[in-house]
Amino acid sequence: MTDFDVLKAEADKVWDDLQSTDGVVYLGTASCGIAAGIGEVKRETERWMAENGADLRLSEVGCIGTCCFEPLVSIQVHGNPPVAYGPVEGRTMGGLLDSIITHKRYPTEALLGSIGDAFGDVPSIWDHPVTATQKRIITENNGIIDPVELEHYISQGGFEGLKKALAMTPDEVIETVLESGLRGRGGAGFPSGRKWQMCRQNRTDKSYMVCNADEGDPGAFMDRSILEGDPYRLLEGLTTASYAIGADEAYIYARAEYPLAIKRLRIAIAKLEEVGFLGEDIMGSGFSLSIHIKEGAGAFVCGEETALLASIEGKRGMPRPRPPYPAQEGLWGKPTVINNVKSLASVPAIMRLGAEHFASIGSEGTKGTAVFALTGKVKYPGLVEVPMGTTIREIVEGIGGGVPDGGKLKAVQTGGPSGGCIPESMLDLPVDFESLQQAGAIMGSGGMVVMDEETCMVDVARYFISFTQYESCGKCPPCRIGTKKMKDILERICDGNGDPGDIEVLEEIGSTVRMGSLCQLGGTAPNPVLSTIKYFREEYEAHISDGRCPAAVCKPLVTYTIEPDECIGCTLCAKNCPVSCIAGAPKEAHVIDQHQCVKCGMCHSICPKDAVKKTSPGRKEVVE
Amino acid sequence: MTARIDGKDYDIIEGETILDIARRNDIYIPTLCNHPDLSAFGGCRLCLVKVEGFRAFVPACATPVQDDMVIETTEEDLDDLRRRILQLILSEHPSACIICADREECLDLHPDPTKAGRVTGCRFCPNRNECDLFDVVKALGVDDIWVETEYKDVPLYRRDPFIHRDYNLCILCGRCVRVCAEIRGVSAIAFTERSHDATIGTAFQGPLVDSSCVFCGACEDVCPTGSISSKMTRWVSIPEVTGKSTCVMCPAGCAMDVGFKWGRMTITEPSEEGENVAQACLKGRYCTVPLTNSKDRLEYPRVTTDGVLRPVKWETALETAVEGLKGFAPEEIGMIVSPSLTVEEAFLAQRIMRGLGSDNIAIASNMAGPMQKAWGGAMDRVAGIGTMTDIRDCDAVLIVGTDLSLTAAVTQVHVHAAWKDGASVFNVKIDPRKGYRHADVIEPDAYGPFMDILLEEVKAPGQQPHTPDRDAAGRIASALKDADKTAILVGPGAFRDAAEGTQVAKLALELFEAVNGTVLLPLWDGGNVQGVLEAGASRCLTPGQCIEQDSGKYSSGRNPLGEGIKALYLTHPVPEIPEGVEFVVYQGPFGSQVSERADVILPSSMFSETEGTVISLDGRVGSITSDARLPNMAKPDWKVFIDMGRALGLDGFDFEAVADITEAVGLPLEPGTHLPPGEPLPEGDRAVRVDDAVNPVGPWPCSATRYRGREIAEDVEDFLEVAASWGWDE
Amino acid sequence: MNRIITIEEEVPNVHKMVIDAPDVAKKCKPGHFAIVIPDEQSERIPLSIADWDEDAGTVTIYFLEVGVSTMKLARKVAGDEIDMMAPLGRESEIDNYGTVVVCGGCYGVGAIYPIVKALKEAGNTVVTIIEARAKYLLYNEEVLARDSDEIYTATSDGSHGTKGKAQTVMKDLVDGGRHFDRAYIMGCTFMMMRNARMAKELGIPSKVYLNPLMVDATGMCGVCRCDVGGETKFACVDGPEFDGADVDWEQLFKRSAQYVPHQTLAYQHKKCDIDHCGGV
Repeated sequence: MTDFDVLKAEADKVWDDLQSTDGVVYLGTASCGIAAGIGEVKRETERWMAENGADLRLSEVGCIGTCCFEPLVSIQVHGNPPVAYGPVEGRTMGGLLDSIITHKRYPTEALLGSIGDAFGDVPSIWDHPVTATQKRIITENNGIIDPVELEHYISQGGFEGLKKALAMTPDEVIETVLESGLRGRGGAGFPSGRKWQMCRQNRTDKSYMVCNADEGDPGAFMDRSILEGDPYRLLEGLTTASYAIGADEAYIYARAEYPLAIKRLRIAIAKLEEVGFLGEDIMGSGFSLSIHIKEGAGAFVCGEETALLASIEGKRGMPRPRPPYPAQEGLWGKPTVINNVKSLASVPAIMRLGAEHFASIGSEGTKGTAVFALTGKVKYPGLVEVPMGTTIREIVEGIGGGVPDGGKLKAVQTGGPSGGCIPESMLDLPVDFESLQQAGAIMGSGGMVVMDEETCMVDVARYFISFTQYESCGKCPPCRIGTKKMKDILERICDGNGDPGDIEVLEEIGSTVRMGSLCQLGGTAPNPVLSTIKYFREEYEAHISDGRCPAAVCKPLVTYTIEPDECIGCTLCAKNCPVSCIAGAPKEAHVIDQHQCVKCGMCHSICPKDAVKKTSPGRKEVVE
Repeated sequence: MTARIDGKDYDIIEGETILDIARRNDIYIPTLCNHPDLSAFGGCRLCLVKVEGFRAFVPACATPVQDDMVIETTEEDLDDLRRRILQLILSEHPSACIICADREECLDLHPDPTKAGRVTGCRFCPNRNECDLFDVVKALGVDDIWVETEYKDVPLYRRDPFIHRDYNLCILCGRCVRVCAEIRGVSAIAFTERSHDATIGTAFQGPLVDSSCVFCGACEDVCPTGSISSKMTRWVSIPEVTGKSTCVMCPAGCAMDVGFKWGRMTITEPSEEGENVAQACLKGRYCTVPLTNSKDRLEYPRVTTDGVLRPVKWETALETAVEGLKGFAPEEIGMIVSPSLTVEEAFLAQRIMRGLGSDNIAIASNMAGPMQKAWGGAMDRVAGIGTMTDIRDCDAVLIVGTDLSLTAAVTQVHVHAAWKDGASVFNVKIDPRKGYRHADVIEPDAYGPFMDILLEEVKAPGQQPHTPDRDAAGRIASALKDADKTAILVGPGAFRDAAEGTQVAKLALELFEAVNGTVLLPLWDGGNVQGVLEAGASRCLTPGQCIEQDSGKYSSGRNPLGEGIKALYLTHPVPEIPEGVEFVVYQGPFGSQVSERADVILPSSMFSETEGTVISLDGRVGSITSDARLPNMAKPDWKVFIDMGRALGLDGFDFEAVADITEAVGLPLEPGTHLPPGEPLPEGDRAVRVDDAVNPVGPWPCSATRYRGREIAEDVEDFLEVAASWGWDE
Repeated sequence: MNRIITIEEEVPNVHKMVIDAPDVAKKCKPGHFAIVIPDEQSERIPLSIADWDEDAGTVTIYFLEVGVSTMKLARKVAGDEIDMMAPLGRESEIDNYGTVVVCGGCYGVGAIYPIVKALKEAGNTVVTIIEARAKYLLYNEEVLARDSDEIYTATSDGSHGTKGKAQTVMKDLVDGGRHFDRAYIMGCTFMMMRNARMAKELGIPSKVYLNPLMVDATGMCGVCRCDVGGETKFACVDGPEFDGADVDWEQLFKRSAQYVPHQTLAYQHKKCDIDHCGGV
């Protein structure tokens, strides 16, 4: 069992060597990077190295958070800090290496900035609009250190928090977390310190610590990036929490759809056990902890804490009523704390830098930072970590760069299928638990989807309710039957068969599901529907009363027509129409036969002159 | 500690839920998925209440009550929410009739549910008279459904024996799943699929008969709707007459609620009060009624004249029997007593034989003889120690010679209760049948030698070389010794060979004493073997099981199926009639291959058609009542014995009613009480008090699949399918 | 023996069967019924004839699965053969009475079609009311609508049309000022009783189609005797159409429950082999 300080010195040395090595290429190899083609970039780099006899060192790092610039590489050479480029393709990599390494010239094309201070005409990446207003605590190491190299993590201050914690008494650790004001990042926002305290008070012969890494929300990837980019941070937080509540066994419930994250976690756990930071007598403190990884089987409901516990116990993932809360009676009936990845990942910084530092960040009621997966119709989608209290507008327009190519922002959806839609008019809402709640949305785990005018809010509501309906466990009638009824009604509305009064029925069922359901899957399932009705009721009425989809999205209500004077008769649409229902002689204006048109949109996308108009005229003026 | 409900304070008991207090003080809170014997599920959401300090409504059934809790059970928005949740449930249940104003009149005019087809309303539903859903609908005053109603249109499962499942009626309350897992320890069904497609089902939706289901009907009992119904009783609707009786299909003596209609028995269900905790088995619940209403019943007294059995009047039949029996010396007459007779009937039977001066009486049971030999000499009476309910607090349970599937099946409920509290359960049985799923099953080559090894391991562990049996015995021995309360149950499987049976019984008693056990129970191979023994209807026994070893008068009792017997009085069919026998009187409800060769046939009753008392394997006195009309000229056994005794001119038969006989038996036969347990005698007084001459009579065909010699499968084909699937094919 | 052309479950528990019977189709008249025998051991089931096609030589019946024999019938597949004896019973009294109301319940929703068609051809203004427990149990609406001047629906749970029964709609129409010269009512006994009583109350002479137990259905066995207007009538030869006001309904209900004990107990023993071919 190596002593911490010895390991710290060693780690600093390893990190400094890496910094001073000339010719290091850092490859962004999180799942998103791999999907974007970093493998191709790596092969091209190796080919270039062979051709030019250059002896470069390749380091696979996590994702820095800028999905819009994947695949992303940073090249460290000539004593300068690594300079990040993205998006980089295999075929352009050779040229980039030529200019930087051979000609010592940093091209500006796809340049993001140096990971460190600016130098020469290379700006710092931290001044880039995407990163400038971010406050990176949890994603601090992402994209910078090699996720599985323990030395990298320790050199950046890793495990100092745990060392401090083990020197305190568990109650003092809990006190620190209470003071920091840390609230659960899973979505409910329950103060983590109080949860730990409750579990500690109910301690018997055995208690368990559980990390909820199920992250079932569609479009959410915050936890994945953390696990893939900086697994040690989570493990340090998990160990600290286990020490605080007096648990000698911890479970990480990671969804099976995150194989890379699980692989890196397993490597990290093995490494920690090897150096005595896990297993028996951690850091000589007498505290022991074994960590198990339980892979989720793809049920969204198992993100709910009691369903998650049932799943770990090998039972069917169905929630149970609370109280008794898991902190009183959890896994196998023993007191258990369940924390989200982001909550536990915040713990190392709290311990290392102290509660006041963490409490100094964020808003009055909600401390620390929030990590969002900013997606949808936004210029720079990606992982965003901002202090609590930042307004949505700052995130969407500041960091996200607003809606691309002149589109008009319509709404922002936060909290995934359990969240609500916030209209453009309320974008100045600060991001914290209370204000989002009042707006009928929830903070949720951090999904933030930006929508522009081309998004149909009824369709969005239909999509999210279909998701929660499909993922419901089926135990309680409000959720099992209520969501199905809401989905059926919404599908009827989207098909143009909405009846008057459907909106009121949706609201009534919605409130029944919200107030009657056993767990928060059902409790929040109606939010997308109720919030879209609240802020975009006219769209619902358009669908119902005059069969019109304002955003021209709902297929049955969409009509494709060819503007005669814009059509040059190139016959491209007629040739490619799958049901050949477009008539017209070459060089003549073409006409679409509305009865046969299946609204596949082929003509609309293929027309060189954009003469094919996609509109939703509504029932009255169906063009003959 | 107190809590305030609807403005009034009530005192609370630690660990209680809000629903518990409400029920204790008659405060109505609607529930559907809750059931007093089952764990809280919190699924149906009807029992939501408002509690101060909680943001959302909480389910009363699952929320533990705390000091100074302020609870509201009815409030405007709360009642409205409950109604709307109930309407969501009703929207997927064929609920048109439930909210129809004409429901009552329509059900009165169609007294019986239909026999087949899909249930599209209460009119067709087998559960229409006891529907929990309807009770809640009435209580909440719901009379319309504002959501779209739909018929789930899921397949019907009607191919299984005994139990029909129509999940179009299912409201997914999960009671069936919980009773099967928590009370019966079988876990044959579970929630499957998810969300709107979630449904109850066996593994891979296979038929019940391929699952671990034992067809005990517990799920059908707790099902609030008609989703699970019994093929045997779903058509019968409300019985005209109901009563409390005791089942005699096996020695467990379950307390049953019995129903009669059209002068016939139509339904038997376990009653709430009995020690069988409202549980029964497929024989008691499903097979009693069809067996009682069998079409192959003996209906007329008959006498053989020139080789042909002809129906005669009762008087003629009795005269022929008397004349026949009087033609032989007392020692040439033998009687076989059926273990299905009541205590009173067995008492009269032995009074007839002793009246004739003969002690050649034997019970039609493989266990009775060996038990008399093994326990008769070592205890004051042949009777078990401890009760079935005591099994629940034992820490180690050893079951030898049965798998509890068809013999005293309800014992498994108590064994499971013990297992849930951490008990270790061992099942030593030879034939690999459907055993208790949580038991450590050991299949030795033979029972006798294994029990020897077990006793050795208890007394001197680890001395002998390792063999599979030895290791298993070692496991059992250490568990029995560590446990401070142990239960040992001995079943009929170990008594197929009388000598080995005697040895197993003796060793079981020694083992019981060696580990200072709490419960030692014989799982008899006949409904009322204990009762017949107590009535003294066996050689060298008199009522109260007093051993008349040396009174001379009875010591001459010989094996009624041995040589020297010329006349036989059978109340239970024998495998075949020994050659030397010249005259046979056959009395019973069913004919058999033997009855056709009898000289006199006296048609009598089943336990479900008579009155009297029976005694279960743990000495509990159960009373039997009936309102069923016997087929044609058949008479209850006790009346036949009284007429026979009078016809033989014997005194002591002037009884008019069963109660008089009960008194004459002279035992403490107060229904519901237990007879005293067997008392092991001090070491010195133990002796083989029953000499070898009284070698046990048998072997009798397997009793688990028969009732008074009659194959249950003859009358209940479903039973054949179930028993065969468990390997009871012989 | 007659071959089954098609059989399908129209709505839950109501089966529609088209049978090849050219000679029967020629002689069918509204109000006739057929005796259908699934196999040797089953009962002779009396079922109203819901439609016939002389050219195709087919006869259509609707039936509910309510007992052992109807379960056997429902298990038949196209191509199987069944015994059928038809047409039986007296022809329905059809004439031009002006405005008539025709009420159909459960199997009657299918089986009133010949009556509706005949009344329409006779020049009446035909108002049809069909009832069912719920929307998903309504069927045959378009076919009836074709030959009716007006069609109304009633469901007990209010999921379609008026919430209530056929008699509710009848009463609403009369209260709304409509006048009916005659009512024709076909459905289960309870439905016919309630509608007949309502018609009587509203002063509308009514015809009902009684469905008592039957054996030979040719007037010999007397099982189907009913008390109509104080006289004993045979439903099979004197009916099945009778004046709704005169029928002694209580007696009809009692007689229908005559063999329930025997059927119940018989059902308990025999491992009904039908179950093996019953649903899944």
